[in-house]
Amino acid sequence: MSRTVTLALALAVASPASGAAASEVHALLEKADAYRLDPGAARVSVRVEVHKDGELDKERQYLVYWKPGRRSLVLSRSPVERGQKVLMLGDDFWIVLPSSQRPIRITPAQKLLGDASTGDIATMTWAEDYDGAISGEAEVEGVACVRLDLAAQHRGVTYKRIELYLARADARPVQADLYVASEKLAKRATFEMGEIDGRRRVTAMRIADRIQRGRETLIRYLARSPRSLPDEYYNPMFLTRHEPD
Amino acid sequence: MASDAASSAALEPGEAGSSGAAAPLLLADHQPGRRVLQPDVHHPAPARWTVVRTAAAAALALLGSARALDLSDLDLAVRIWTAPEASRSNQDSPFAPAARLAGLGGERGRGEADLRVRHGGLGAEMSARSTARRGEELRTSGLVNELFYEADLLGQHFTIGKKVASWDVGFGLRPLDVVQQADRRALHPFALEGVPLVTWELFGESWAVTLLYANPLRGRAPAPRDDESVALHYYQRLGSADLHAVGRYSRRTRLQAGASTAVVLGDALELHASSRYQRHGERFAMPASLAGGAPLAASEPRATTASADVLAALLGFTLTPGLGLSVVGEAWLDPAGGTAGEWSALGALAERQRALLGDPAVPSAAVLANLAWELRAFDRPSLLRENLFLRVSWKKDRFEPTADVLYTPADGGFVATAAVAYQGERTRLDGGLRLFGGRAGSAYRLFPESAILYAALQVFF
Repeated sequence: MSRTVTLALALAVASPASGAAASEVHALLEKADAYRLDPGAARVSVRVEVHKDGELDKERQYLVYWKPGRRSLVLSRSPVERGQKVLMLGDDFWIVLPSSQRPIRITPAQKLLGDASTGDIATMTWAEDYDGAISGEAEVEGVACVRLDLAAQHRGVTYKRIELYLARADARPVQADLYVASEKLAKRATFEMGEIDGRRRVTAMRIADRIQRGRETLIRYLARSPRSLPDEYYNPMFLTRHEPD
Repeated sequence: MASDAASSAALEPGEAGSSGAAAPLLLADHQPGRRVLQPDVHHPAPARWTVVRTAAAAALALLGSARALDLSDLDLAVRIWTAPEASRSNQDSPFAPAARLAGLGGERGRGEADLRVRHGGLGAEMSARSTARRGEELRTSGLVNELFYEADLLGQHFTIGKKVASWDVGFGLRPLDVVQQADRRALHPFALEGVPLVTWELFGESWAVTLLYANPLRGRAPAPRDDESVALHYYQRLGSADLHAVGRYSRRTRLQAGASTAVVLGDALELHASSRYQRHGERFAMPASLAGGAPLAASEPRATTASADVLAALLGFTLTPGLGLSVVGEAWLDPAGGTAGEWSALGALAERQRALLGDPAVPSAAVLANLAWELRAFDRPSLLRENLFLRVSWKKDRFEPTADVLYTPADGGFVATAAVAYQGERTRLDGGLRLFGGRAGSAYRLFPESAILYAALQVFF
């Protein structure tokens, strides 16, 4: 794969006006996504560690169900949040609290709250949500990268703009600068790689808060498995009475 | 994180995992089925032990079935909380002499241990509760809040047992919660108790239908929540809007019908609205005057009166402009609330009765009992029909300071609360101050407490 990717990236960067065709950018994003998630529905176990000034401040566990079509379900597994569910269907979001029979609509801004937003936890692909152009090259932490300027294609995505750095060699994600609607750089994400089932995968995403300095969030992907929930689980009313295993 | 969204999105008194600190009014020592008038009425011990035994049996049955099947499937959560409070007496209130009799005033505390268990289709929530007041005996009780079995058959979903049923979208008032109403106004309410029910449900990709039969064969019960009833709920998702429609029939209220919606506009604004109409209703009858003009009643005055063409409605918004800030605003019309004139008349009656204290010809116990009976007027979801509510919260790391105010424009009364919450890994600590005030003669100004200082510690396992 790496030779093909290198060739594609080289052609894209060398093309006039640094503009790669949208389909090429999309293909690159899909390749980058594959380091985080296999195509198709999946279940991902996630641990979130929030650090303040280098010290572990809090830790949370989540189970994330993801399905093509911009559908994801985040189940809280930590004692203090146990039973909470956040459902994300495209640009629509709900929270279901334990012992409650009603899903509550939340705004896109509400899923941005916190050191690691629900969007950070639940969104593991870029290809469905972003499009843009290859805008240059850069070396990031010693890795030769191409830079993609990505713009959100949907209203409800967590970040309106991303500067994404993919390794020239194999299109693995190296760094992502995450911008909110005000064009302010909110967070910088870097990616840790590891060997899982004989494949090179993203094992953790480290998010440094660029607004509140000294804060860092580490999202560890503990386990991934292909798992498709029935469509009913993506109905907010159904979630008030059912919880997937 | 998800909890951050939860704390900002949902003011959910009574639902585990939230503080309920946004609730605007406290009715001290409020318990389902227990009136303010009857602080010293103990439930017969056998009944209390029956529920404890039932809870224990249910727990053992669940744990036993889990062991017999597969313990790894057992989903178990425990929450323990305690909430001490200290209140400042409002000596200007004509009800002040009877506050203690009605369970108000002084230092008090409540606590609860909740156990939630799910195993396959079987679910249960049990709680052990305690209430304490300085100088009084600790009271404890056990309760099975929920015990139900859910089954799926040929794409249909069935539930039988005791379960919470609520459908509405608002915070201060929920007109569509026709089967049971949560106590939206208490500071630290006990976990909501479900109702016996049978349901049939059908789910599509963006819609859901629920047919519910509650309190089978009970007919018209002493309390509305125990009434036998049939309810139908329809849910439809339309883009960024949720629509709900509800119909219910019971002997007490006949047909009730309502609809609600919650819409998200843009990145930071949510609007919600809800309304319910019913031809027949009941409301608390304010004892503004007594038969024959006598200032004291010999027995408790009639508590409820029939009303017709009853409309409940709520309109509200949630604004989340970023940086952890959240603003909730609501206006609602609660037909169960009183009018400014009714409160004024009640206050005048109470003043006349208080003036009799110290009169050797009138037994003070009779005066205090009358005042305590009248204090029941405060034991309802909204004191006034028209209500305005505003709450501002700011989530910063583990801390969340909040401030809210409930204003009743008809009489110029208000309840204001300032609080701060701290969330740890397994704990949540809340502390705050609530003030009651307003124009002279307003309902909240008549309340025999002027301030409550409170704290609450929740521990999760």
